[in-house]
Amino acid sequence: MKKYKKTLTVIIILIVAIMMFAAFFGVYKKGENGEKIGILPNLKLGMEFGKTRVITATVNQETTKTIYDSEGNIVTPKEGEEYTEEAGYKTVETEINPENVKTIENYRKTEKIIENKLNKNGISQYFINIDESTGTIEIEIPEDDKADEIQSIIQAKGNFILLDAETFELVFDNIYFEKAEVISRQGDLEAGIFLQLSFNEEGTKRIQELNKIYIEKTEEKTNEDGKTETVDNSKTVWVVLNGSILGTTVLPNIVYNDKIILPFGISSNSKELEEAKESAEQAAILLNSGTSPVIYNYSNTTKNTNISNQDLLLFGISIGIVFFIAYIYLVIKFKAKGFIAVYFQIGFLGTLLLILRIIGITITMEGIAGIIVAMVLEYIFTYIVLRNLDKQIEGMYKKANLEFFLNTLPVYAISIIFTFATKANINSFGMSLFWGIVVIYAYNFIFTKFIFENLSRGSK
Amino acid sequence: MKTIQKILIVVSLIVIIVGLLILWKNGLNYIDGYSKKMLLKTINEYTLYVGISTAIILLYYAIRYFKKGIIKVLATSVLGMLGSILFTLSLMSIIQMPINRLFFPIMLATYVASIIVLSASFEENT
Repeated sequence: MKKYKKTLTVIIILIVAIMMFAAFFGVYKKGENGEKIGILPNLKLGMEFGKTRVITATVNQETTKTIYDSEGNIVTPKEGEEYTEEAGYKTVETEINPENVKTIENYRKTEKIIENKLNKNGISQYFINIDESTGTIEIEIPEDDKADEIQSIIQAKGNFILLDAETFELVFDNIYFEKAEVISRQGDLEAGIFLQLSFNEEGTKRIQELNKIYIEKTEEKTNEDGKTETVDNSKTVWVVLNGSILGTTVLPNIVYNDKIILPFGISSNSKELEEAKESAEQAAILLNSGTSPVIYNYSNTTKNTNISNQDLLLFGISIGIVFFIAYIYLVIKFKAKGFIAVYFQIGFLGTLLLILRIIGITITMEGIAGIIVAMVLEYIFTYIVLRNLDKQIEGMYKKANLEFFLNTLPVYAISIIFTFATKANINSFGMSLFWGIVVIYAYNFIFTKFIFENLSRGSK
Repeated sequence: MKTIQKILIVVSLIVIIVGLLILWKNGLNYIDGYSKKMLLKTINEYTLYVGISTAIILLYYAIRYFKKGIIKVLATSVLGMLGSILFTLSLMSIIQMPINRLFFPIMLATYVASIIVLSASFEENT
């Protein structure tokens, strides 16, 4: 073998060794205080490998007490005062969740609402479980820096109501709500992000009625000095969106074509507009997800891990034994070439893990299955190459490539389709398998092709 | 068909029948808070993607290996994929393997392995 080929062979082996080392042990630099700082991003592991937050929603079984006086009027209880039956008062206890609301259908509806909120907010890692006999819903999410935000999304109630600004009477209820959309409008200098609320037929009629009542009005009054002055006599409403009070206004300010349009941001700054859009979309998702007919109490606990170290070790050892036997077979069948092939097999695993780290794919248990399948495919490719090498077939590598491609083509369809999934577990399988297949072709073309072709020529 | 292949098919059928009977009688051995409801819910999530992938793969087999007879190829493919999934499920049922979140990775690997074997088998005989 010519000198440059020997040099190139050594360089390839060293590069693969460096990639293996980087993948399995990491690459570090010294920090300012002398501590080790990892240069490479860590592998993103799925929630089953770390701590999870279990949010438990239990059906509220409490009751509210309403005190009526002898004339049937509701009495606001004052501290220190007793409201007894002898004094003519009547206390009525009402369940927060009446019996007709505590049905399996309503529990399932609530579960669906929570799932909608999570899916539409792009939350891909969660488990949700419902006990249909009690209505208790358990939602498991990763315990990370987004856990608090996700919990608030789960607990938030989507609704839109209008209250009379003077009497606080409910003038427009959430039952009229139909759909919420985020719209953007471009002006001459600035752009605006708005939340457009559409209502059903009854709601539209109600809005039309209220639009004539809650308007700007001015009156001319003569003051003590005999001067005429204009007095503002407008009737306004409190606008309450998703439990937050947005402010008071007259309705013509926010009603256009029988729809309500709420501004979320008006700016020429694209970052501010992006934040406003995100905020409006979250509000829209909450409204469109619906309101649970059942009122729940929420609590949360932290769970350590779903898969014990023992399970993982058992799983790892089982897979390890299978691959060990397969590699021993390669060495026995192909001798020195088999041994070189095993080295490059391990190098492939290192390269794949490095790529997955850099791309930042979340690796769940399904993702690990994808990596194992990719390793099996790499083994098949190597076996075909070594078999062709042994038979001294002309155009050995090209033929091996074609045979491998035809044998494994259907698997590519699976990997691509699974990458479109939004749930983390399904997506992880697709992504790790997809990148595994890409790395098989790239890795073998760049590294092993030269080595095996030279082994072929060297043996001749 | 070779004798060994016939024996393997017979053994697999026995395992599948026994396994499915045990599954019907005792169910699976759920652990770590995992339940039948969670299993069925996750199956529901996978249905669309597995369905589309399987449809594309069967179409590919029908086109590529049409000379062997489309019905024969499709029947072999469906039986092969279904058989391997049922075999794995039956084994889990017979040995009462603890079922937790490892269930789906094992099933996915079985599904992909069955497709690789089918492809290799069809290619070998082409």
